[in-house]
Amino acid sequence: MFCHVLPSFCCDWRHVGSLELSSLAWFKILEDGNHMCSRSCTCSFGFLVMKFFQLHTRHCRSSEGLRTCQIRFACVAVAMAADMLANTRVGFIGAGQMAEAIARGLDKAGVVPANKMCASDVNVGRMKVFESLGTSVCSSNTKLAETSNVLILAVKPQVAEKVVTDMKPSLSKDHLLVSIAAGIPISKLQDWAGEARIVRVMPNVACMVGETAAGMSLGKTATPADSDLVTTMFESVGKIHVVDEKLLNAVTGVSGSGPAYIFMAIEALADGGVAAGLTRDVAMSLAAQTVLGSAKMVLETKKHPGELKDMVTSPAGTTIAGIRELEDRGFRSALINAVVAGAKRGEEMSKY
Amino acid sequence: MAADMLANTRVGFIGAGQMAEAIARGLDKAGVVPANKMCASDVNVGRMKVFESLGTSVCSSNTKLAETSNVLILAVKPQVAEKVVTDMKPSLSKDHLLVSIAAGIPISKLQDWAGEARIVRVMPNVACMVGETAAGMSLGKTATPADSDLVTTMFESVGKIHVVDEKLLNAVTGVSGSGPAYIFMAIEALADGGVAAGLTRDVAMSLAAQTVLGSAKMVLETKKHPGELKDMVTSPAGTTIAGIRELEDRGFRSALINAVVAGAKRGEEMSKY
Repeated sequence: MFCHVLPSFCCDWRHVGSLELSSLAWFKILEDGNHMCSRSCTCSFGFLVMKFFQLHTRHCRSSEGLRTCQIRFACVAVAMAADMLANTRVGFIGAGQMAEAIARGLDKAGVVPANKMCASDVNVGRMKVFESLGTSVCSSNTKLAETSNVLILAVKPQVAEKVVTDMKPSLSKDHLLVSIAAGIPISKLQDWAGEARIVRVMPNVACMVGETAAGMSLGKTATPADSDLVTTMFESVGKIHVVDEKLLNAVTGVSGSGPAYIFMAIEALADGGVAAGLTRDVAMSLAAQTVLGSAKMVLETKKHPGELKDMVTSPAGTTIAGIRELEDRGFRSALINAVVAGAKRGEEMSKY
Repeated sequence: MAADMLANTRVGFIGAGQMAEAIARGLDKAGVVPANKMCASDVNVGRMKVFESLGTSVCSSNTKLAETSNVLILAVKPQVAEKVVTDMKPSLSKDHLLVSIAAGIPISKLQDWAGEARIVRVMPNVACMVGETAAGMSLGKTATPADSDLVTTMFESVGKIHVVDEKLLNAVTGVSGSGPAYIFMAIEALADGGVAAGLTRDVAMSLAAQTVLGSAKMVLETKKHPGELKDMVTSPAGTTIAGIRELEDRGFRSALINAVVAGAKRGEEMSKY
């Protein structure tokens, strides 16, 4: 109920001076936004309000006017963000698994509802999948460009050039093209896409379970609002960082390729458990759950992994015995080298 | 039957440290045991205050704890466990279920110390604290299937747990007890690699930890073999297979297998003291 009311407020009230609600009322709206957000309401506005509230409180210097200032900024911010999201119509160029994961995430988090999304794919079966999510489907990419202002390029890299070049006549500076195609530099995308604003994203496979680790880089004409929008979109399926494009190979080395290394680690932990006497199913379940819990410890405690390692290493215990083996065999070094090798290979590939 | 069992469950924490707190929070949050049906006892008054702030009761002594609780969680440091439980023995009966999370203390000893109480031994891990423990449990001779179900339900409020023969708890320790340290090291190394490749530390560390989380979630949710998932993300002559070559060349998997076995072996040695 709150969700439907706020957009019309915000779209009408761009200017703080025309506010008729008391500051208390606005605080209630902001609080409600927080509250509803924490109750997993599908309202994205509470989420954005919190975000902008955090960003803009820094701008208020006077403590007297702080409360009012916060409200003003928050109101304007809510108006802007609400306006931006309210007008966002997402078109998926390619309706594969990654596209589907992103679409599901956007809808589930309330960032972009399904009915504001459209997909186009050569494969009719994939379009049916999208329809079952509640999105529209388009018979051609040209139509997609007509109905969407944010286009997600989610086709295989090999066909990206043809697909985008064919769309070029339908693209304008009013389009934001978000490419998730691995290894395709912004310069090429810009050539193929003409006037469209470009953002390049390097997500990873865990998009599919809503926990991607991703990096993004902005094209020359992409705006700060574009950056925020794409950040918000990908935060509905995990975490994302803005980096210079030259660092996307490094991102690939860590988060693009990293999952394969962790799959191997989980298999090896399970093998170790089997060697020590566990059945395969118990060993594998413990291994995967152990890795999940450990990562969550790092993310939530915000402690250094070295500090966490110290916490669980009791004198002459089982853990330090295992650590000796890992250090002896250059476990950490192997991973460092794998990341560097992957980044290097990415760099080589970008030169073709 | 299960609802009846849970309705009558009054949990007492012998020791109110971080693991106990994590379990208490999980039980309450998941609605398995509400805070007002829990009680804690600890020599440290500050820790008792923490529990009170969760909404549990506190007891001034373990004896009182045994009087008011039918499920007792032994959550003190292993070094003091013998004294603590032996002192409680007169207050314990076959109507008590004693759930020990004290590392390395075998059921036979717990049974000696606890008299008639039914025993379940649990090997949780540190991720209990973020509600994602990987744990194993073993049953004492007089513990019932209902006890097994109850303890399983309790620990599923903070992660996942498997029932195993007690002789396999060392192997469980090797994987899930010590595993977190190996993964902390892996996250640090992935971040170091990212820094070597040009990322700032904070971005590298954040990507590394998030990558590990997402990868584990892929295995758990898709239920596919990790080898199959690895294949899925390894494109021809791509970045990932280049990294994998390094890992295989350097015996990455072997290092982990050996670490798990070394940890299990050390656990076995320790249980013989």
